[in-house]
Amino acid sequence: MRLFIEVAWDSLAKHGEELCGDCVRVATTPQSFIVVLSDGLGSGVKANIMATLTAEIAASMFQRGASVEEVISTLVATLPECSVRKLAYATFAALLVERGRDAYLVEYDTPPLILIRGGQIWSLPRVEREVEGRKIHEAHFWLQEGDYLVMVSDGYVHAGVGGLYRLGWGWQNIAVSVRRWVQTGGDAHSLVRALSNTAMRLYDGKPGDDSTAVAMRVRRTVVATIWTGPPADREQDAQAVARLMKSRGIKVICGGTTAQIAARVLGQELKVDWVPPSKRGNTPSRARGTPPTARLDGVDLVTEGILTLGQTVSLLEQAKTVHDLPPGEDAASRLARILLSADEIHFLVGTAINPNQVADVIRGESMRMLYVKELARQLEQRNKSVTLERI
Amino acid sequence: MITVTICVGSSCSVRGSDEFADALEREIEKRGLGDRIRLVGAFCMEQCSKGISVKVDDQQYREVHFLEAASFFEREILPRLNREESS
Repeated sequence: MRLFIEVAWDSLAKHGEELCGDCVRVATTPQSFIVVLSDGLGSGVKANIMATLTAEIAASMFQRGASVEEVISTLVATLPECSVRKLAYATFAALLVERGRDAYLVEYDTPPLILIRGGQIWSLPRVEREVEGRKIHEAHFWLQEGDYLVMVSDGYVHAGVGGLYRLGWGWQNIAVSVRRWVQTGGDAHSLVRALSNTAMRLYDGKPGDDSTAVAMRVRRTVVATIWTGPPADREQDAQAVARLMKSRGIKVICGGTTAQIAARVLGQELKVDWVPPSKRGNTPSRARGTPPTARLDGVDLVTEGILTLGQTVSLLEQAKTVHDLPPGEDAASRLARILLSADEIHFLVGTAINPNQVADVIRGESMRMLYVKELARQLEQRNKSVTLERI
Repeated sequence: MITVTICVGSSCSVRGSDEFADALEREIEKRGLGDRIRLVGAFCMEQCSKGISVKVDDQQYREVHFLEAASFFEREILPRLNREESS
């Protein structure tokens, strides 16, 4: 079973500042996951530049396999010195995970990572050591399914200082809040939103410091396979159906003809969930102009092709995460929900040209392929692993 | 019972199969024939190029225009109903 690390973060800029002096960088490959949170000295533009440089350098160097010594000596040599404080300084915390399990944590002057496992706050065995005259803390550990991890910048620890909390929210209190929240079983996006809202309230809407939280949840990888379009060669029909049916995870067919091929090969009757216009009411799920879905046993979603794909592209342009999607049970909303919930998405794209719709071919690419490519691009921007195969 | 199958796939959707179905349904309701005619949707009937694909029982019609629902009903569905009644 493969594990996936869901990650979400949010930054609050110090009141009156346009830029946040904290920076988060995430670098993922199918094999590794890296997140870096950096807090630049001070606030505003200078802090923002320091933090961005630090996070960017650390994330890209760790991704290329650099050691923490190499990263720190590069940072020391690169960061511009603050003219007021005569210091080149940005804190950082980095978490590196190999194959979804094998975790390495390094912290330099940041609040410790919060780990909630089995409903408890876990204290990681950290080892302190000095690199280039700077004290760092390191930990090696194994991730487990159901773990929640949270990184915060010190703006969180100080939230509410002098107000609700005399000494600020404090690490321990934050950890307890996270532990309580985790019982809801929510995802990383909801967790980070909850933390961010609380910090904002503690600061009475005016953060006294740049405040950033990075939330992570370790869960099983969600895989989705989307087959759209008949294969170029009819002989390949049965094989395409077999590919979809044997795939792991969520199975989707987009396309009327594609669905009929699947029905024929599977020996099933394709049932279209079409509701006469008068019985639809005015619910958005049955809005006019949204082609209906159909049903095939063993396939999670069967939709019409090109119109649904086009509408899904528009939905993804407006929604960053699955939480931003408008509610709706129409084909495009359901497809968008699947795409945004999945971590690995495989597109099987048939390249047969419908002789009735030759006008659809634009510079050698079908409309279908253009939409699929746009979907793939959108999903990759969200750190999802996407493959596209022409059949 | 007569089954009218209307394609609601890509091409036919764009050509107005939904409006066609809507108008057809109004004809059925106007005459109170809801229990004798069933409207169902279908995906592509591989006749995309001309007009909306419609099937009345097993007979396939092509080049149906979405504005001709009322006349289609008079021409193709009513006679069939009358035949059904007399047999």
